[in-house]
Amino acid sequence: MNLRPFLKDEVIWLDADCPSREKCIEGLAERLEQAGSLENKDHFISAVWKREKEGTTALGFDLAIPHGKSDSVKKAGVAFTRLKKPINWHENTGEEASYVSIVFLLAIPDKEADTTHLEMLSEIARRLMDEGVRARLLQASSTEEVRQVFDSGD
Amino acid sequence: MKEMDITIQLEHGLHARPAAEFTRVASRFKSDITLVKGDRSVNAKSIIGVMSLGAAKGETIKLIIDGEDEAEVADVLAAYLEGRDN
Repeated sequence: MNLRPFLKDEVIWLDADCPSREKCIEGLAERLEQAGSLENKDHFISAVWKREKEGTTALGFDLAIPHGKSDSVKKAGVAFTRLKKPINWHENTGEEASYVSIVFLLAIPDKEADTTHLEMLSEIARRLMDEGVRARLLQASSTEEVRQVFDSGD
Repeated sequence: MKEMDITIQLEHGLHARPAAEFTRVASRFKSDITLVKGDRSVNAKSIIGVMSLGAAKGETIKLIIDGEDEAEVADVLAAYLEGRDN
């Protein structure tokens, strides 16, 4: 799956000043709403939190991929942020700290849970396994540079 | 060293939560465990690696296990992927 068509300027948030997981998810959901992905932002955020409570979405390597599958999603979308300062994704969860500075929030319509969802997750994971890719995202100075990270290779 | 082909029977495939769960189970063992799908192979103890395979229900993946507890690993992980452990 090519993520470039999803990564429009309005869903790329560089150097976000987010003190917490809550603010981060809220800010990314606002961007997905602006991009026309959401029918109802509050319902979508509830779906994301329901999933967060079932198990961590922090994957190590500075990265978290929170996601919500919900009928309040009109069309599949992804929003990206690079945080100004890393935050502990496990703050107040009792789990071992996991610091995160790159976050992708996925919005998936219910009926695409087995298709689009799996493809988006695997594409992001496959790219971000590469240390060079993570470094490029951490250094990108424009939204276009973020998109280019997903163009390279196959 | 043990090698086995497994057809995934998890309802939604190896998406984020099952990948995390699978990794947690795999990490309890001493053996080196590799998952192969097509031309890509990943460490079964890495969540991001397992997720990157995007393995869906009905797809077949190869499990390569090497270590002193490999027989037990094979049983437990095959049961997980084939949805027989609950």
